Amino acid sequence: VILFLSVVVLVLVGAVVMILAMLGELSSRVPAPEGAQNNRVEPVETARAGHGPDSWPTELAGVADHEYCLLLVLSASCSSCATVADQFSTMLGHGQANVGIVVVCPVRERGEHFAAAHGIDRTTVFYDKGGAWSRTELGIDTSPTAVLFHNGRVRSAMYFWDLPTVFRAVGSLNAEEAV
Amino acid sequence: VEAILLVGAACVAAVLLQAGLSKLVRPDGLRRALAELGLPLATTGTVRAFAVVECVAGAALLTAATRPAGAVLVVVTGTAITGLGLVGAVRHVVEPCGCFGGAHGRPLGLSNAALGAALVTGGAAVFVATPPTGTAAVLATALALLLLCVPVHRGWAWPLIRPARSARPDRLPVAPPEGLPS
Repeated sequence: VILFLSVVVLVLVGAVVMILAMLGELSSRVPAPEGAQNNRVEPVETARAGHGPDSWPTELAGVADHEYCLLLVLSASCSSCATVADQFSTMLGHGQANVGIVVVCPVRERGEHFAAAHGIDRTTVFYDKGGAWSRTELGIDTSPTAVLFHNGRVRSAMYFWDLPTVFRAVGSLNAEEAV
Repeated sequence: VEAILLVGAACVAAVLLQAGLSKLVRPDGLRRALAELGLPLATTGTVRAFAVVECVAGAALLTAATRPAGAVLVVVTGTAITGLGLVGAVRHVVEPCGCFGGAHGRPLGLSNAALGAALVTGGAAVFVATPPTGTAAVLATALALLLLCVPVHRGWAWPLIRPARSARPDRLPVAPPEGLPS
């Protein structure tokens, strides 16, 4: 009897696993309603607010010189990051000199492939191997993330799903006009 | 020692059941990853067949009569996963592996190879040693499977079990600056 009940428990847990997987499958087939999912940002609680990176990568030196600058931390293996990169590529040449891109990748080649595939290789990109710099200097280990700097120090960081929403959140660029 | 063997065998069974059951429902992730590798058998049917093998391998570890066959299946499955991981690492693929059915996450790579190697080791250990089977194994596997499904399906599972927040911020914790001059 105990063995039978144990098997029942295992079957129930297996059913839970399948239901959770099924929810994921169903949600992937339903497009998110406009404005519900994408038009929001969430604070990154692990960000090292107030901390200034001990060393800036040479690729980002020009960005870091501004009083305010924004770093977009993207991952080469994240679908939301691909969407953001596509959005950013359409905005290139619209004067966002104080916006930098960090592509987190296990090897530089994959990061370069990601940048080329989404058209952001035309701007300055720092390829952060394994996310070491983002993690240690910024406290960021999730993407896509936007990190706002003031005078070289982290002022705030936020998860986001839509690039214009980030620009609106930092109260600056009129993203709709830029896009 | 018996307890360690029980936990180890339960973890191996839970990983295989989790991967198999998830892929039965969501085979497309692994199918896309296999297609990126250029494998000719990158079809939904192939992925579901592999998922069934994983489920059978995991479940077979739970009874004494089927444990040796299950251990062999675990070794075979682990070897296949290791091979796919190594090929993915060499080719620098970018498609999420879909190993646990998800559409996001890491592509096939060294982490898959490491997991496959761990399964090979676990399968060999189960074959050589004699971990407990029956009620204890079934309950331990159910517990391990339940614990494993939380991080694997965290998008759905975590909101159900996390402590309620008293005040969820809907604005940035720090007020945005006046402007971000170009």
